Amino acid sequence: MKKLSAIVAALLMTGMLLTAEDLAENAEAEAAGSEQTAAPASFRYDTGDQVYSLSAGPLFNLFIWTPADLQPVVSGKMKVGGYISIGWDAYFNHRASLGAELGYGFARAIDDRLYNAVPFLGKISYLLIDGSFSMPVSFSAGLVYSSYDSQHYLGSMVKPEIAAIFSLNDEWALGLKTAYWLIPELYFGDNRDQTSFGNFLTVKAAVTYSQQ
Amino acid sequence: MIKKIVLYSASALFALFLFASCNLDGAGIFRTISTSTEIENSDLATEPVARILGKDGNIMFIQRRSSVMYADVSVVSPVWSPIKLQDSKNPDAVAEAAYIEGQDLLVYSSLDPDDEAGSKKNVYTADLSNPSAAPIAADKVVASISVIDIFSDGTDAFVVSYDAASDTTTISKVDSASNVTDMGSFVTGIADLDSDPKIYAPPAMVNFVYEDTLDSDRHFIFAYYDEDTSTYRNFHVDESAYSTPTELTTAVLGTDNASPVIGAFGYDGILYLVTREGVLIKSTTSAGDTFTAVNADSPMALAVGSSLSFAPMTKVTKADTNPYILIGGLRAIYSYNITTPAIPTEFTSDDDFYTNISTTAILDFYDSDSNDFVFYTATSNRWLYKILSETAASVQLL
Repeated sequence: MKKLSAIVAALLMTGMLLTAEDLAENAEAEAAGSEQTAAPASFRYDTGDQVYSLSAGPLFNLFIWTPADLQPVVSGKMKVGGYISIGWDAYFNHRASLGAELGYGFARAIDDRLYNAVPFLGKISYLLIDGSFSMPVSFSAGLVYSSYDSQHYLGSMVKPEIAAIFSLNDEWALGLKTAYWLIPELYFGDNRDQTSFGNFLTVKAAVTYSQQ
Repeated sequence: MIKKIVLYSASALFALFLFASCNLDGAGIFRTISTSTEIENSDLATEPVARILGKDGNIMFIQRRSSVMYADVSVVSPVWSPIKLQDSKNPDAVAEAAYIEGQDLLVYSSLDPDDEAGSKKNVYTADLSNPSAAPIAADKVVASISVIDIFSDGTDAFVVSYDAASDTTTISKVDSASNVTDMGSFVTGIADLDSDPKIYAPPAMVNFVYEDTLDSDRHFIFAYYDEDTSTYRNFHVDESAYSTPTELTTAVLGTDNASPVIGAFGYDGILYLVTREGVLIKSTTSAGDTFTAVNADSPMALAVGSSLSFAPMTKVTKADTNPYILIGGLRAIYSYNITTPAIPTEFTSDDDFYTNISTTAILDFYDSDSNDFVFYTATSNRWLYKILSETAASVQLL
């Protein structure tokens, strides 16, 4: 069941990526065929625009939720770590985009053992504010590979994010992104008491490149 | 089109990766992290605890590097303090040590400052009834010998030493009044170097067994490295004849004798030995002169190619109320069911107590009450842990 869910998630994510890719390709074709219908200059992005981003910043563990334990919410068990990611977005109208993100995060537990996370996420975003200063909000979901000592877990992850982006020119922009991570670590049957949820916060500096 | 092919291929590979690697081993990553414990004192935690010497009530004594340290381990975050030892002339750095629990007496060796070669040690005793005193007077009881190791049976301490000039291994007893008695000595004639004149081999490792229930004898198991044959040779002596070692040959042990004995434990009149190759051997009588190999065909992965020289052993009682022998190794703890003998079984990270210590070498066990699953262990990961039960995460004490 668990593997089935993961496969479905992977296929959904692939579908999301393909949809975004199709949209981008269709938009490019439309733009080439009808110059007159180009978007007004007040919009920073047009259908088919693609944005590539590189982000990095600290990773904070907010708390760990272990529902089966007598003290289910535990905080302060991990030191500040780091997260770096690459992202891609394709706009399917002036304000909304679909995309993907691949990253690597790490943080040490307070006993110095290292936690690693490699998220691979599909993403949908919407620009709350558009212009030379833009504020996209996004919701990402996908898979994350986690390791800690000899333990490994491939599970799901969701990540709402809000960003503040300042355009340097038509192509380049700098910004700050902050996101909340929820990483469920689900177990079933006799091991169900091991189920736990990692809760993290990232604050990242980002540089983006727009291909219009 | 090419992009679609690439994406479909990537997703297929990813799905394959899911099937291949969705292994949910372990006690749960976040659950394990939620039970992790901070290193309370980074200065203390930079080196492993070499040996858990013993306890006096709630006060535990450990040996770490060249210090003996103590702390009240009944509190949540024990504060460890070094014991300041000094004889009439010199502060003493501890080399080997044993604590006689019933006597509050520390017996330890320290390099002889008058030995220019730097190989001889003096043996001291020190009263640890007030460990916070500074300094604690150390009385020299034996001068300038080559100490191999020191053990305690709870009443006396036993110093094993070696004299290279005469190829003599000696067992000496230090009693609670700091009197020293030679208990016996023997010569092996085992070559250390193929030279002329011949240079002989000191004991490579020594294990001590004393259980005082069905077997009140003190046992010593020696392993010597024989340069002539490039193998180890193991010998056993006990209280009945400290000067008459019995070589534990392949025929006696029931397994290959070339591997050194790196662990020994006594329970209910039976001697349990462990070789570096991971074979558990038990005696058929308390005399320890006839043995059988328990797992010669399925050795434990204790040393994993390393030069691990000591496999600590202790006895616990598990939830099934059976007594078990625990055997520690490099990144492994095995248990051996005494009541229903089978081959030793390795604990895994599914065992809650083991999660915090699963990736480190087990350097020592200390168990004052073997009728439960509560004990202490020192690990190479620099820390000391208290094991509370089979189903609870172990608590870091250093």
